[in-house]
Amino acid sequence: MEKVIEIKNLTKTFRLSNRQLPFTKRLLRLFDFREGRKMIALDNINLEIYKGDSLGIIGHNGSGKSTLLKLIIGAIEADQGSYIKTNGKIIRLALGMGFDNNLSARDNIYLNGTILGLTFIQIGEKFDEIIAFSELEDFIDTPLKFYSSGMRSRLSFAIAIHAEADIFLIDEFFGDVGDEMFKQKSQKAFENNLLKGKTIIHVSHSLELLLKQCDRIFVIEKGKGRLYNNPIDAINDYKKNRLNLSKFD
Amino acid sequence: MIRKTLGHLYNRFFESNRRLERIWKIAQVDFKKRYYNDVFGLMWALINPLTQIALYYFVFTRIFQRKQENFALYLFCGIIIWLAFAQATKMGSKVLINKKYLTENIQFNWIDLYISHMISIFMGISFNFIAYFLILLISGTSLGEYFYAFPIVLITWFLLSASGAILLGLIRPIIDDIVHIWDIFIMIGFWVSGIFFSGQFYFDNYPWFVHVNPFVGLILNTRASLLENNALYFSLLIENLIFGIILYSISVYLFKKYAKRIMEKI
Repeated sequence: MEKVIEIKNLTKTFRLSNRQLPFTKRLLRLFDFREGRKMIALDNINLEIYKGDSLGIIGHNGSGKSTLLKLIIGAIEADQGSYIKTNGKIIRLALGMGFDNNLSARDNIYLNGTILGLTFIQIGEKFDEIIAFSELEDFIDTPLKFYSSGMRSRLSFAIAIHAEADIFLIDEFFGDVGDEMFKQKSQKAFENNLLKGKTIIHVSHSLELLLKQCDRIFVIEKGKGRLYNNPIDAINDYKKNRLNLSKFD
Repeated sequence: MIRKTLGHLYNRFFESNRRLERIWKIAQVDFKKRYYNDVFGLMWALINPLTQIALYYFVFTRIFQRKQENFALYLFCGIIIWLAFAQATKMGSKVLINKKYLTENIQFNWIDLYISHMISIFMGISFNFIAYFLILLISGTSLGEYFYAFPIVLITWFLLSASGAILLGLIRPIIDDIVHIWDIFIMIGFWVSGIFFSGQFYFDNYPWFVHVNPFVGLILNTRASLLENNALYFSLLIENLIFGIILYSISVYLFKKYAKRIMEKI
């Protein structure tokens, strides 16, 4: 099988900057990134992801899940000695990327669609479908600032399910997609449109969703990761850890 | 029919290059949202510079009785260049901060954010130039004898402004105070970049200064290309272009080296 992501010895250390330093010292240390306290967010992660994989990632808040996604997409830099190789176009699917409240739904569809990898022609072809799915036929030219949060979520979801990429990183995607009925409709569209044949890395606290959608699960705890080929084992391990943590609390 | 054909050609042009399409869309929206909710919309982009030229004409020609020919246009040429630089750099200092949602969610060359930003600024100044050409047409004044130098002037302006925007964009997330320091720099630059003086003044009194401040040459050569009876400073034109290329290359190098680490601080 074709390897689309290869991660070896991945470590990420954040240096917490000291904003209380006087102006002159900050000026002198402008590009000195060694200052500040260290915090190891990810510690020696190794992972291989193949084309068509659906990998789940679970871990407690602050365990390093989002940092891992940022490193995969190249938004931040890993420590020296780390190795990340990706093959194919990656999008971290977020709802309403670049939405502007002063622009109409029409303009936002084109802007958001372009960001999500669609061409103008593709957006034009899918335009009516997006509007129909979001049930906003009467508000196409209304600025977004007059939309309710539900209308906004529906629109953002309707565009997102048409995103074009080889690898999707999905971080708590269904947290805010409107009412229960629309959520169900969205999940169905999401499975039919996006999941088919694509490589997915899915971060979620919803164990039920991960069990349903993922072939393998990667558990991250305090920056260290364990890969499980059986999702049920991963969830048992995660629950056991959670129990230990709550006892400790 | 014509609209449909143009729309089709527009789509076909961008279809071949998704990168270009994204750069264009971000620039277009950034520009559009400045006027989106205004009743007169884009008309303001034209009304504003026309009012400025009218005001300069009234103040300097009628009140101060300045004898220099076309002084309002002479002034406006310099002001467009300097204020567009000020706007490009100041707004550019926030590009990484404002577009964090893009850098965190999609894979692309981050320098494209600055290209979009510069295109959006350029759309704004092109309305100033339209207003300028309208006045030339109405007043029967001719373009400069050296109009061919205008594209070089614009490229140099683009390189200098983009470099400023990139460098400020790298510094601002670490030191917010840079915005205030830059405001002072822009204010000083407004008075010392040759907006109000002729080129001869600098060559007679401070010849070294034209080599330190590239905007002196840029403004002189803008006038040479856009307004009749103004001399072209060819060596300065080339010197400024080379300076712009070097500064832009350094900015892009620093951006590639430090941008990801800077993003951790945003």
